[in-house]
Amino acid sequence: MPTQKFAPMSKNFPTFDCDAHVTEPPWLWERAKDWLTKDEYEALKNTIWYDAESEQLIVNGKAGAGIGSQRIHGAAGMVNVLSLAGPGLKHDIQRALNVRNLNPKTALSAEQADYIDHKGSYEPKPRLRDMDVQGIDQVMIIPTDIDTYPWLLNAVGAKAMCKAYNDWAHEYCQENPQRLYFAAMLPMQDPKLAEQEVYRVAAKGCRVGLVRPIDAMGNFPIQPKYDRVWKAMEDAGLVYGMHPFPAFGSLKPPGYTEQHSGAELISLTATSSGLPHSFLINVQDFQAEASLWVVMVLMSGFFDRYPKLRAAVFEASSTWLSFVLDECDKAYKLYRNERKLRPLKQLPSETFFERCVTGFEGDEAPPSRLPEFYENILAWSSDVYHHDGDDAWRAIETMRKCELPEAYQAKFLGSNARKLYRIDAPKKFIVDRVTTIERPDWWPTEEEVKQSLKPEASVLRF
Amino acid sequence: MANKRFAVFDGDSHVVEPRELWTKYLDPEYRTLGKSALWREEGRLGSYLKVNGKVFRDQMNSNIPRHAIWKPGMKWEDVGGLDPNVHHAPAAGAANAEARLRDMDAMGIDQALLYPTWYAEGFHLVEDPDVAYALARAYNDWIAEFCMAAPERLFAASMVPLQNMDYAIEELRRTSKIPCFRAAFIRPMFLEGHYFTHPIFDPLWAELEKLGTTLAVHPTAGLWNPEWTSHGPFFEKVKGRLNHRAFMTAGGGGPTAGGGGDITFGFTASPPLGHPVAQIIAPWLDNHMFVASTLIGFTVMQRFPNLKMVVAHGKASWMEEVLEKMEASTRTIPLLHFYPVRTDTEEMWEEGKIMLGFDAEERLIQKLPEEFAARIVWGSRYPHQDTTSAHDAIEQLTRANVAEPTIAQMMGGNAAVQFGVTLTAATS
Repeated sequence: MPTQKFAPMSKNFPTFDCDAHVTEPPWLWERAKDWLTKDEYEALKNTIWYDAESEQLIVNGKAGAGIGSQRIHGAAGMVNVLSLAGPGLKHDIQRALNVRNLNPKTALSAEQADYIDHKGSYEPKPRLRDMDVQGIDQVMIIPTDIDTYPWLLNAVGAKAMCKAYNDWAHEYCQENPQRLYFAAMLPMQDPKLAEQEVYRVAAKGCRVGLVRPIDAMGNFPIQPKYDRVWKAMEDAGLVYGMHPFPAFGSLKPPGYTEQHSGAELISLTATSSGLPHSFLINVQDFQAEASLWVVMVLMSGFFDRYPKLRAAVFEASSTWLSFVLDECDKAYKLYRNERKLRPLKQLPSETFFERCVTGFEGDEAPPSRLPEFYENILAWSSDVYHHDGDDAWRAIETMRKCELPEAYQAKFLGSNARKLYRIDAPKKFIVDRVTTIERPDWWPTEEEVKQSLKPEASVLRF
Repeated sequence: MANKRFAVFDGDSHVVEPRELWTKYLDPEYRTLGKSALWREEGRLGSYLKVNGKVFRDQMNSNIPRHAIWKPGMKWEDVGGLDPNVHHAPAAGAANAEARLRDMDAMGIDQALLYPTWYAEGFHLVEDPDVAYALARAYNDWIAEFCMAAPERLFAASMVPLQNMDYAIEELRRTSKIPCFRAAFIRPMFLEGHYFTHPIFDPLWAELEKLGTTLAVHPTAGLWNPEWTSHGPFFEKVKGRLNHRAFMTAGGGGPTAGGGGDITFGFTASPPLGHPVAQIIAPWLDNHMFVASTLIGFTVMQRFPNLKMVVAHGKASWMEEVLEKMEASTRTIPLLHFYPVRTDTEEMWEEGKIMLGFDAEERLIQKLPEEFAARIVWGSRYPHQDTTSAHDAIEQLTRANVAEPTIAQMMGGNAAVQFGVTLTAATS
């Protein structure tokens, strides 16, 4: 049996993964009755429903919606990119598996696809085992189908979905409440319902309310109508969690032609080319959505209006902040004479440093080169189990290459996030890396990985 | 003021197109159509850009012409302090070569590559290829004459009518024989629903490579553009969500329409922000998208390895992160590639002939100058509102302990190589 080996490493501090994902499983809908009133359950059925028989998510009456969170166990010839990045599923290994799937003769079998569908994505016990291998002591779990929820047309149905998810996620975390934490979904379709959900999840110990920064149905989350939601977050002590995503727009109602996210453009550069050539979606989408939100809240004085509110910017890298904050300050100076809103109490960058934290990924080196800038605003995200995710060891490796002192590593990888969420560090934490994982016979060899990295290996066969 | 001992080449400087470009330089046959296809009107009480007969009005106070407001000695705070109730004259150097040369002297700039202003904003959107060709020739003839005022100091990026690739290549060949043209301009945006990833642009890359002409990529904030053309217009739309308008519902269509349950009718509107925000992030994202999608993802760098390029006005600090992301994406995204994409993205970038425009205040560049030194080109943005003089830029980099030879390379040497220009003797 092959063995996957990793270089020995150890760490002297507990990590907190501020953005890792779960995939919403079929039983979230099967058990929805347990968590919802009769009216809510009916609204859920009419708004967003997983039909177990046809294995399809039906949203606003449209079948086949969503990005496949419910497709557990995987399928032959495919890797499930939503539950893929478990222990040892490094990017090079993924490349080899992706290359195999280009050829029907070498494509993954159903059994193989199931092996790399990590069950921790929807069950807590296997997740805790994976976390031990990945060097993750504590984690904030975040749902996956976040390109779907802002498009739910029925606000009561949206509320029902949020409630069902939040209760399921809460249960998931009860497996080990010192290690597992959940970020709540909020029905932003209706500010009153979102406000109610803020208080409801806060009572369950939730630390974060999630909001997608897009303009789906004209609901970009800076509008005055959401005042009550932000006040409730302040009152309940919830962090405003801003999580971007690729913007597929597949649930736009007929006739809806408006742009709803900056992320749509990068996808359009690929789809408008007329060539079957993919892989750009992970490159800019997140930054386009996150940076717009950052600019809007800082320039508008949002945080001046909600003096107790704190925010976390998830999954959007963080290198861009090193110049975007300066650009905000510059714009504030340049347009002082034309500003119609109240003057800001301080420069936009100062507000960010005081009130916000930004996520960053383990392969992102620039923040480790500017520790004095990022010292108190950086919180590491694994993005596990999504395909581009990686473990804490990878992040530590990047930081060590940049010669980042350990005190900064501890802040970036754990204590900044714990401070934001008011969570105690665990008494016991992972110290040494697991250095071997036993693999099945079909696991890609080093030679196969090497061959798969050749450019021509990825060309589409006609 | 810093005393410099090296020549500064400003790789991102602008002219503002004068009326005479349309009334004198545009072929008489196209003057009526040309003024409808692309025209800038600056009035006493309001200003607009007309593109294909459609009017895009200024969102800012027309008393402060922000595209040409900066004059030597000004700080950004000074621009923000200008009285909006008084009309402020644009910088004479925006359209007058002699005045520009005086300003360059004051700013410590020895030579400059000139980009357009209104053509940058609207020219790629002109629909009629014949009119676009005529407009391109008019601009190129006008700017060539402008540069004649100081042929050793003033250089230009030519306008290329991409609306018809045959015309584009003809104009590229024509301008390549005129000494002042050291680059060809494109704006990273969608054209007729296509992006530069589309194979229709392959002949452009091939011709540029063959002629040895540098591609000068320059984004704009897109404040006078329709949605779906670049990042800016969407950002401005979202900015509009900041305020309630009188006698309207609060966005969306009610509690069961997904549009927001708080239906509030008001007699008074809440105030808007009052100024654009797109320029804060749109240039970076437009450049980032061009580099990631066209150069790396759709392999233009691989297929045209000798193509030289400067991607200006959008910072440079983001590049390392793009390379990291692209390298990961070649592995983690299920593969459906038409072109064989290299998986060693960072090595490919090192081998390529692409440079990025940068600003002296970029923290990452100040901290790690040696890592950026060979790949960045400085630009002043003169006479736009956010101009920085060379003196100020040198001072910032010196304060950050960047060695003088490195500063000289970033602020002159690289541009000279990339644009094929001999640097003049330094003026201090």
